[in-house]
Amino acid sequence: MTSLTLSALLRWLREMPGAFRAQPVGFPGGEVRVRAVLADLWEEVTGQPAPPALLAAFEAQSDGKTERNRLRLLLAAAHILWHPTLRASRPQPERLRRFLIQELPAMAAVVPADSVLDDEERGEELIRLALRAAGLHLEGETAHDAEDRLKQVDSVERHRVLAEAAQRERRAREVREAMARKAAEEAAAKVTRE
Amino acid sequence: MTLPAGVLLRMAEHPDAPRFNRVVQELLGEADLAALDRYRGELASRRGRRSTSPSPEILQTVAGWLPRVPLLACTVPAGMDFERGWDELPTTTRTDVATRVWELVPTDVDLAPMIVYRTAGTTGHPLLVPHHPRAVASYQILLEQALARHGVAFAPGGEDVACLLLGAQASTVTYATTLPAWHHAGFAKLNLRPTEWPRPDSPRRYLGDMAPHLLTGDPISFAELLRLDVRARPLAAVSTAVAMSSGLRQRLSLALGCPVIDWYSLTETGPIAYLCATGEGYHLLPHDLHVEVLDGPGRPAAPGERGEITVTGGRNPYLPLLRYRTGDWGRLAFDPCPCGDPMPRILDLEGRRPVLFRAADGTLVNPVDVSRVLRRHPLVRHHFAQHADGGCELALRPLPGTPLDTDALVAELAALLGAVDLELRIDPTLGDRDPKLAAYASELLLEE
Ligand SMILES: [Zn+2]
Repeated sequence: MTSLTLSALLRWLREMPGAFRAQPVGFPGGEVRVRAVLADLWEEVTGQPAPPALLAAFEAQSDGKTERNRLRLLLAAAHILWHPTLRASRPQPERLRRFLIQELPAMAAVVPADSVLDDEERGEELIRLALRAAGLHLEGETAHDAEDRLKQVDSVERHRVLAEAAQRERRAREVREAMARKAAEEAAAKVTRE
Repeated sequence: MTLPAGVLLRMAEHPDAPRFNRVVQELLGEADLAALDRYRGELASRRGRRSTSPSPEILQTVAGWLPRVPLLACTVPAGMDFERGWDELPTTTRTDVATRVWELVPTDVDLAPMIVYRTAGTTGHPLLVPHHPRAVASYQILLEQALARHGVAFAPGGEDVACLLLGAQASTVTYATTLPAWHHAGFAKLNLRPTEWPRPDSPRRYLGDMAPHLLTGDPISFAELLRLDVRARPLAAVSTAVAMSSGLRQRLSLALGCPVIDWYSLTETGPIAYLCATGEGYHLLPHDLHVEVLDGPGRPAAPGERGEITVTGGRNPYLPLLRYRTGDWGRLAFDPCPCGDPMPRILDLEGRRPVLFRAADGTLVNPVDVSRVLRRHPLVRHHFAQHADGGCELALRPLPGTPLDTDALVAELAALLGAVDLELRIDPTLGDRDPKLAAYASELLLEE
């Protein structure tokens, strides 16, 4: 079993096999079925088959860029969770579920999936979220240290604060102006507008 | 993209065609059509049994909003577990949409494709609702599902008129176009008011000759259709906007010889449910909308109890709905329905009460028309009510510091309503004591 250091896990992430880097099925050039990857993973690490309602969340819900990004980030997360130490940790299904359907989609909404490979801090963020879900922390760190460090690299919280504050002013004006302009056009309602 | 001109020509150049007042531009592209096909498949495969808890798909959608939606970034506590704490999540209301809709628009969404609908509503201020052409076109896919559930074999071809959207208003936008998502079949938005047509019996002949597969419209328009004795034979009629009474539904169904489907949808939320083929309750329609019922303070109503219908999810990229309170009430039934639709039903649906007015000569007047007059004047709030004897009452709360021309306002209303008795009252505190005071009220019933 490899030691649980950040550099070892970052290396593990960078060495992610091609199958996890491929485009998800449902998008141009799609090859990998994310649902199947997550189903295998879930069964392997929890010892039980995943509930079908959960697996439905690992299928593309639209053909949008954001959705593709979420599925690609799920693949990267799955690869981290495949790490022998994480796999052996037997995470609690509830904690793993929260990671996969809440924390990860939130991160995917603001972080491009490729950046977890190119940008060490984003890689660290994903690794730390996965470790927390697995109930582990890095060698030499306390649970408290781990939580502190995760806060420092937390993109979701940073974007949340941005959305809440400064950006909101400029963006709010932009949206208000666009709405006023479009309202004047009296959009054509087809079939029914309700 | 080439459009088959045949059906468009037939709709526009018929000798009894109305004077269309608008030419519309097609906003859907190839990518949108592919997305709609995909949505059709998902709708068919993902509708099924539901519980009171949101699905993982809904949860991850909400999770993706939080760092991008200003209002939610402010109101949802950081690090919250939505699955466990769902009932503690803040709700969104019509007032949020009325007063700060821009805080709901995600920070990173492209504003270029946005369209904006104005909705009069029955309470409070008119709303501006940002929307996306693809999300609006998804209503057609949802309509297909409701039609199939009513046993209607709906498959319009490119030479057919797929749908006519009926209105009966003093003035409204009208046009003829084609629908790419339905093989470019014809579609027209019509106003049944006599002033729009070449001859008094034009609507009859026009609707008969167009042979639309589908008629959509609000109950006022359908009541007008009955009055005009139009001999259309559509496959189905779909009634929108406000509840249709079962009396009118039966008369209409008899007159048109087809099922009449009452459609529960709001401009802010899109379609929520359709009337079950058995006539009992409204089945939830989209698979990607979570519906719950809440008691007054916003806690989940006890199983089987009535509460406010509250929705989460949907497809509008400009209006992420997190526990959006519709203002309508009902209770949810999860038991299997004899019609075979596995989705739960809303029973005792209430709140889409139709409000309608009548001019002195008996013509039906849509509240939208009254709203069009009133919004030209500087008002904070208003309350317009018509009594059973036809007399009207108008209470106004003017915008402080801006002169209000009451003579002009009264004259504009008289142009709309004719010589009805109108009692005008200025009340600078209107709505303070009763914030939920309806903007429109009427003692008239549609079946009279
Ligand atoms: Zn049913």
